[in-house]
Amino acid sequence: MGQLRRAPLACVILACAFALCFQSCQWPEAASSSRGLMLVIANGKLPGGFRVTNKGEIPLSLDREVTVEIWDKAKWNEIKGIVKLIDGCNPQPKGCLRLMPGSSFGPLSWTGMSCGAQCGEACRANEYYGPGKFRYVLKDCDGKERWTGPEFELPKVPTDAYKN
Amino acid sequence: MPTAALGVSHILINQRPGVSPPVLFGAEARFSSTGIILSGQVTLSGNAPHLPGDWWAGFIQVEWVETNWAYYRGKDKVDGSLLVQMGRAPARLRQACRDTLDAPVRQPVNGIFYGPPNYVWPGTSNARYQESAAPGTVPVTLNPRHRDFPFDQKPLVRRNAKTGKVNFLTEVQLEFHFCTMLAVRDQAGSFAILKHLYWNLRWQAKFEPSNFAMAASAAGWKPPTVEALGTGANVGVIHDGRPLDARFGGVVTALQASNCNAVANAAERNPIIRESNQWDNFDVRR
Repeated sequence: MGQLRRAPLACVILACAFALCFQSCQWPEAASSSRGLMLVIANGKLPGGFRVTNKGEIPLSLDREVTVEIWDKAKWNEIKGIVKLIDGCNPQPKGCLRLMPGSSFGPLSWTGMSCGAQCGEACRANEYYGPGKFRYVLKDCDGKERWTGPEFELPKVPTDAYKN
Repeated sequence: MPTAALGVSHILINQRPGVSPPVLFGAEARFSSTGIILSGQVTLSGNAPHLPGDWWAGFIQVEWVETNWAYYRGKDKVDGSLLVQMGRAPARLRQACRDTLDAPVRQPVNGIFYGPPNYVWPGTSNARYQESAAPGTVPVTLNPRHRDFPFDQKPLVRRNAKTGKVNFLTEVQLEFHFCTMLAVRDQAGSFAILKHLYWNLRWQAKFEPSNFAMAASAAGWKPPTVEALGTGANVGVIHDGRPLDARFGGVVTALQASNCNAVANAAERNPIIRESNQWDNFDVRR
């Protein structure tokens, strides 16, 4: 009888926690593998901002090239060569990103532009990819693992990305 | 021999250009524009029922003059001041350049048109920078599109080599003047300019740290003060034919090595820097 009463209570607590988190925070998406690799990609406060966390038990070596996917014509389409796992521009870090268990990395956020995507550039010809629905896809350095981040939206106007 | 002829052409301004107030982000001031969006329409006719060979319609864009300087000042007079000039030679060797997109939407500068062929704008069903008419029945109407969102940035702090002190961004003026042309390239590779319009973007703003100790990042700064007279965007009327403008006539379809992004970034990497060991006024015209 006691067990029967505790089970619904646990469900209510879980449901409340889920509802609270769903309302108050961006829901991160994680992918794991049999090798115990787990990376969580969480969206940042600004559109295009994100953070990666190694939730697994062994170090990860991440490819710095991030694939941006745009939702278009009822499928995810790849945009390559725009976003990198970098936290600085002068100079830009090179090689794989080593992420120890439990540690996080906050790359420079994507502006939504083709030029000046993360680092300051002088852009006279420039493509803006918004408005639309996007997500990031990361790979490990040997290309065997792939992690897909949660969706985010770019606003109609580029500068609105800084106003949130 | 069948030939094709150019019929009616139009440019429609879908979105007038606009500038956003500068935003302080990270360690830089960012200057974003809300972009210009154009639609073109070109009708090809001919003296035969079939169009001979490949014809392409698209937009060509040149930037024909640029103002680009940033003034920095130390916390105290003895910390000095400096002017970073990126709009004049030798930082910017020539004013006029042809504007084409860089990677990943890459259009080589010698592709002449602003954007690449066969690229559909993300989020649209069929908007393209260039439209082609394969051999077939004429008349045929092509509807190329154009959009551009120029952007620039300036670092919030620079070190003054004369005083060895950090100088802080104090004032910036940017002016980008463009001419955008609706054009057709025939199967022989010759271009016909059908319509053109002038447009520009301008920013002038003053900057001041709120906390000098934190001024390496945006958190240590007051909101920028926009100079209303120096800030805005304009687009002119649409003219027929090729622009008869000696200031940029030589770069419209000429083969060249660098596009405007490369020219501007070269100036950013190697600007003219004039430094003073006091708070000085600099002549921004040179």
